[in-house]
Amino acid sequence: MIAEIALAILWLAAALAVLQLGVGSYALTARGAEFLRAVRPIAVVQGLLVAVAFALLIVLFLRTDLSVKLVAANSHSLKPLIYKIAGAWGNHEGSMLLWVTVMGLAGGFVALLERRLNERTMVATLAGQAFVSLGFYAFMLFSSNPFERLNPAPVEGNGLNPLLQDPGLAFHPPTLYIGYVGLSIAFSFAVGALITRDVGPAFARAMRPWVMGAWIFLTLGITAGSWWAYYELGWGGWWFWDPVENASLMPWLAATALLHSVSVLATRNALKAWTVMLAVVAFSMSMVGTFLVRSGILTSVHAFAVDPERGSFILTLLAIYIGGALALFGLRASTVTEGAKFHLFSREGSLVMNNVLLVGVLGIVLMGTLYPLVTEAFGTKVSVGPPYFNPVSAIFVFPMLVIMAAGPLMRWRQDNGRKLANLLAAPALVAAATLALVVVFGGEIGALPLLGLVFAAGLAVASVLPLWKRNLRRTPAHIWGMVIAHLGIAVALAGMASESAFNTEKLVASEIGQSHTVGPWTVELQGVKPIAGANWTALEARLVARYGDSNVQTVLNPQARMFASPPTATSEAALLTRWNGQLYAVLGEEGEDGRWQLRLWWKPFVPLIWYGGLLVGLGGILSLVGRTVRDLRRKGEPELEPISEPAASKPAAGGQEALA
Amino acid sequence: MARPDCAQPPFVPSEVEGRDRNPLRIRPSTSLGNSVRWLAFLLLAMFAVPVAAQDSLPPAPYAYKQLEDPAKEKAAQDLMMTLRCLTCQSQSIADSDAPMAGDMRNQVRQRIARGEDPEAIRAWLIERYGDWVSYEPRVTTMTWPLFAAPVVLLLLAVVIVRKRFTRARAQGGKS
Repeated sequence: MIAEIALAILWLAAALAVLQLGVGSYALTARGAEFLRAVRPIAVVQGLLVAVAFALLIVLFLRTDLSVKLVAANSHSLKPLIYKIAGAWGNHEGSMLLWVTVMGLAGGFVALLERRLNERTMVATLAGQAFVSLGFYAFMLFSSNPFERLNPAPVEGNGLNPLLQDPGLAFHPPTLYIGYVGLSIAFSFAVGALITRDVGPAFARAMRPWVMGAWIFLTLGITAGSWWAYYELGWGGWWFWDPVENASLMPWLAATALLHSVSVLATRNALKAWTVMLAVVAFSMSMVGTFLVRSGILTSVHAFAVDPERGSFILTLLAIYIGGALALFGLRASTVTEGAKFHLFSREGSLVMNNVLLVGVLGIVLMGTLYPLVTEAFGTKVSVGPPYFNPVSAIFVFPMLVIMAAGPLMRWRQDNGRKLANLLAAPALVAAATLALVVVFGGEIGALPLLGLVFAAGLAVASVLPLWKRNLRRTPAHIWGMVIAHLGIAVALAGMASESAFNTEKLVASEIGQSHTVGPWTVELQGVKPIAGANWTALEARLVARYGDSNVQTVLNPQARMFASPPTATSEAALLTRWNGQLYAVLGEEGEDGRWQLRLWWKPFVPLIWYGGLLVGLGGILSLVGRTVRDLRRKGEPELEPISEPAASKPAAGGQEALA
Repeated sequence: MARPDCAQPPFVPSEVEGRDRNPLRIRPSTSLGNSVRWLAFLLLAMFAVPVAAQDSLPPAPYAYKQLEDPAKEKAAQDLMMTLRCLTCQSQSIADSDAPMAGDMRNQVRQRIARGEDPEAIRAWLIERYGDWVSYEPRVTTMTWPLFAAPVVLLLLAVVIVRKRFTRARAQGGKS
């Protein structure tokens, strides 16, 4: 029964989305003004209904109702509780339902709380949002129904892929999805503002929390995904420019550019068209990401051709939304005024340059990810991997880091450079000192890791300089947020560079009782014994590690696990973290001579990658909270000159400039 | 780590499908799988190393053994990081535990030990398995847009920034 009720509720929610779009569109016409008030309640109810449908899916998974096809295919009665819940979204249908749920809830939330925006723009936004969700409702109801029954019901379920049975990964996909969906809200705002010709600071302030929220979730999602790949896949890598990784990186790059641009629009009333354009690009990238991950095209173009239903559906949605948004943009670009002017050598100027560079990196990642699909369609299979992405993205990233160091120290509108030169002396010195130190003591390392270390050191110093001579207690939260986020980038970069520069690896076939050295560590294999968990059995090694001449012994227990359902072998690496790096141990096979395969890595400063990611996320959260509190406090009073007020329904149609 | 054979692709969030209507997802394509196995067989026969890409036999000598000379091991490692495991999805042979990747590591290490140039080894592998095996794309008639893209994007960036600011300056000067 539950499945049928949930399906009915889902249809009802979809019907409400149709209503939201219809009533919203009519309300915007000359005669429909009386309907303006109806749209918000519809959006709220639509969000609640779809959330109920999703909750019911979780209930089905909790009860392991095997007569539901999705549950049978992805769950198992013996699975730990947390993975039963996570199983609800660890698959195609469930994740699509999660997508519309987050989207519906976010729409309801906007409808309930957002009061700063002109009501017509608000309604246009909600109608746009309903239009986007409708595509996903249709996708789910017509081609991937999560509540489909299975008759006869099997005795036992298939189980969840053991690699996914990990707390980190249980929450990685929802985190990224919330990020994707947040960008869809930003997209709806942009569409709404274009429809009512209302692109201004009020629009930017309404959109900003959603962009920031989405960006925070994307940042944390990517960080968590990279950490998961690092310790769960057992090969000690943290980023491989894999298409699935790129699919999450591309929206992040676009959102980063959008985030900076929307802040300039909110506070300086500049970069109007550019902000709208980036909102469209950011959402396009989350759609491209969904398409790549969900269509099966990544494994092979041929796989996609054999089963093109889902992929074509998403591709069609992509074409409709992006094509539609670009057409609307083309029609309305002339009504978007240029906004406040500024000099290249100013804080806005540096933001624009970095935005352009970010979009450049985005272009490279997009090209490198999609190009193999293109050549495969023509019959040639090529691979594009780290040897392409690392140096090519570096062309854009290193100039970006320099501008990132200088930009926050510049004045708005125009900077004369005198103060800047003094301030930047410190980071330049630190960078030079790092260069000297690494060249003298670092041994032979590649050019990119070397540059990475040098730039990270310089940027770390430069990123805290905006606090120089400020009263720290009176510094607003969003300044702290910016400083911490920029510092986080420097920290993460230091970790990445250090990992590629100083990593040491040891592969050994070890007898019990034998000792091995890796980097500064001595590791002794003391024994291997079998153990069992809820739905797996494993061999667990006992390794004793000592650092340098120290007598302190630490035990590590890497495991080789065997899951019963589905039958899969996984490795649980053992990690030992010190302030200056991580020892990473993996247990392999037993050889015929009774010796055990061990893989040991010493990775200096590698945890900085994820600490950096967390700092970036923390900076975002501080900034979001600070901005929101400020915005709420200023509610009702215009932050800017009257010209920028949205009340003036139609700004003078003067500026033809697209990029302003 | 997806161990002995990575039938389960590593980046599962995308792969966990409710109904696996398409067995092709597991391997790029059956014909490729076959030809690869065939090639591997030929290759091994050529060097008369008593190993084959089968689980029952012990792995090739240098599949899980590092070279004595750290410089040579580093060169081998750097090369292996840029070669694709042909039976897994999105893994380099350095990271893969598939038997075939082990055989390829063995080949790479032995050739490096004999003093061959890493790029020559790459070329040799590309000749046998096609461009697919190397993560470092070569400039060919097919792939040149990959290398033109950064140049075009940089030029575009310069044009956009220049246009935006020469105009702002001109207008700023007038007002």
